[in-house]
Amino acid sequence: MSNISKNFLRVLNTEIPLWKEEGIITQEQADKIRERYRVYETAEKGIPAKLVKALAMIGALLIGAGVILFFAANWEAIPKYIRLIIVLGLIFGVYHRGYYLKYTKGNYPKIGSALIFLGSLLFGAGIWLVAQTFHIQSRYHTGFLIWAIGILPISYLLNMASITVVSSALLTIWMTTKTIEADTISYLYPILMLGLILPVCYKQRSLHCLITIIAGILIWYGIDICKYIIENLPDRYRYLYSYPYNYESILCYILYISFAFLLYAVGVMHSATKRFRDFSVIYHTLGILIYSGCIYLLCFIGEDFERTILSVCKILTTSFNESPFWGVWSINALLSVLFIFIAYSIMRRNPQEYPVLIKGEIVVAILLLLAPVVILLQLDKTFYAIGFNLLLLLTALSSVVLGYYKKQVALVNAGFLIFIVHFVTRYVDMFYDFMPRSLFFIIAGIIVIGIATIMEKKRKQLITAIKK
Amino acid sequence: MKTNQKKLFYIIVALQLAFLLVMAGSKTFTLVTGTKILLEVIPVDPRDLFRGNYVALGYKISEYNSPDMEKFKIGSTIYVKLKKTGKYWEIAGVSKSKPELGKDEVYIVGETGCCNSIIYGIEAYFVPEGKGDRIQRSMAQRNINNTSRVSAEVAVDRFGNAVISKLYIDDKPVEF
Repeated sequence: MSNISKNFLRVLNTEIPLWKEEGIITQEQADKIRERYRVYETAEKGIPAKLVKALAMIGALLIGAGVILFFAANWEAIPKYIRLIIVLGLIFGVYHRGYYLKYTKGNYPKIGSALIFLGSLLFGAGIWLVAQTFHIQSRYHTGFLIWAIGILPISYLLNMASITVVSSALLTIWMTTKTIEADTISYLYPILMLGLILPVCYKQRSLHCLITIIAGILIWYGIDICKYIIENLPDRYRYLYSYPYNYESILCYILYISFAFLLYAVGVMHSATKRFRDFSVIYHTLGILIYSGCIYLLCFIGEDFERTILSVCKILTTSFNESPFWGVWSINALLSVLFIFIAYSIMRRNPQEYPVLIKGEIVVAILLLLAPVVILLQLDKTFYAIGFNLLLLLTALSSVVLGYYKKQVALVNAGFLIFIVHFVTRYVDMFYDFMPRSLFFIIAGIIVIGIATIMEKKRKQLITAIKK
Repeated sequence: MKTNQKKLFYIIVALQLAFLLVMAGSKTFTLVTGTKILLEVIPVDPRDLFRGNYVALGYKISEYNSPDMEKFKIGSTIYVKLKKTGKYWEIAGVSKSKPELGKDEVYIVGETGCCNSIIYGIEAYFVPEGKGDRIQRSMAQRNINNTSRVSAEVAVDRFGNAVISKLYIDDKPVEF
C-alpha cells in the first residue's frame, strides 16, 4: 500500500465517519477500514476526536444547567417579557452559531454540534421559564413531553444521536412523572418511544440511544404494566401476602423474565440481519442481565419462600381468564418466538454466512425459557433453591461462551459480572451466621480478591482472543 | 441537499421559538383580557420536585362536595361556575359543558382529581429562591373571622382558562 497518497488517507479519515452516519458502513466495518489503511480517529492536533466531542458536550450540559439555575434563582429581578426575549434570543443565537460552525463554515464541527445540543437543552429551559413566569403547574409533565418531541426533528435532520439520547430520557421522565401524578397507564409512551424515537435511533445507528430506550421501556414495564397487572388480579388473591416474599414481586420477576427473553429474541433477529448486526450486542447483553437479575432475586430461598411461590403458582394456574398477566406474558412470548423464527429462516436460507454457533443463540434462548417452567412445576423449596442457582450459573456461562464465539466483549463481561455477584451473595448467605465476623470478612476479602484476579485474567484472555 | 437542510433546520428552530411564544402569549391573553377574581387560599403540601422554589396553593374552590361531582370520573374535564359571594368568588355549580353565565359569574375549566377535588392549573406560585417561607407560614394562619390570611387574584378569560396574577397576604400584594 505504499503508493497510497496522504491526501487519500486524509479524505478517508473524514469520509469514514460520514459513511457511518449515513448507514453505508457499520462500526465494525469502519474499524476494519481504519485498520487496513492505518488511519485512526484523531483530531488534527493529535487530541482524540472523541475527547473533544465529550468535552464539548460536557461544556454544553454545564451551560444548559447553569442557564436553568440562573433563571430559577434570579428571575424576579428581570421583568418577565424581557426574560422571555433573552431566552428566545439565547436559543436562536446558540442554534444559529452551532449551525454556522458545524455546516456553513464547517471549521469547528464538534463545537458546532455541542452548541446545537445546548440549543436543544435551552429549549427545555424556555418551557420551564414560561411555566414559572406564568405560574403554570397543572400537567407540568406535559412540558417534558413537548421538550422530548420538540427537539427530535433537529436530531433527525442533523443526525445527532446525543439529542436523541436526551429526547428518549425526557420521554421516560415524562412517563414516570405522569404515572406518579395521574396514576394511569401511559399507552402513548411505548407508541412514541418505539414508533418515533427508535426509528431515529436506528437511522443514527446509536447504541447509546438504544440503551436509553430499553432502560425507559424497562421502567415503563415496572411502573405501568406490572402495577396494572397487580392491581387487576382477581380480588380473592389480594390477601396472599407473606413477608418477606410477596407474590407481587415474584409475578413482576416472571414478567421481567419474559421481557428479557423478548429482548434477547430481538437480539437474535438482529444477528441474522447484516445491517443491524452490531445492535444485537445491546439486546443480548441487556436481555441476559435483566434475566439474570430476576433469577438472582428468585435465588433467595427463605422460610416463606415455598408458601409464596406456591401462591404464585396458584394465581398463575387458576387465573387464566381473569388476570391480564397471561395476556402480557403471551404477547412477549409470541413476539419472541416470532423473532427467533424469522432469524432462523434468514439463517437457514444462507447457512454459509452464519457460523454454526449462531445457532448457539437459539440454544441459549431455550435455556432462558426454562425459568418460568421451573416455577410452574410447583415443587419443594430445595428444588427451587438448586434450580434457580443452577439456572443463574448456566446463564452466566452461556453469556461468556456466546460472547466469545460472537466476538462480543460486553456479553463476556456480563457473564463474569453475574458469576461474581452470585458467588459473593452465596458466600454471605452460607457463612455469615456461622463464622466470627472478623474472620468472615477477612476470608471473604481474600477469596473475592483471589477469584477476581483469576477471573480478570481469564476475562482479559478471552477479550484479547476476541479482539484478535 | 445542504440548502434544504439549512432551511429545514431554521424552520424547526422557528417552530420551537413559536411554541414558546404561543405558550407565553396564551397566558398573557388570559391575564390581559380575563376577569379578575379573588380566591381564598388554603394550605397544602408541596410536592413538585422539578421546579425552583414555589408555594403550593390550594383554594377553597379546589374541593366541591356535592352530589353533582358523582357524574365525573377522575381526570375528566369539568366546567366550574363561580359567583362573587362577598369578597371571594365561590362555586355556584359544576357541569360537563360550558355553563350559562349570569351577572358577576365566570367559569373555569378544570380537571377532576381524587375525592371531589378539582385541579385548575393555578396551584403553584413561583417565588425567588428561599422566599416562599413567609407565604407558607401565613397560609397556615387564619384571620379572626376564620378566613385565610392569603388570597390570590386570578385572571379568568372567556374560554375558562385561569392564570394567577397576584398573591395577597392580609390584602397586601406580595412583593419580593
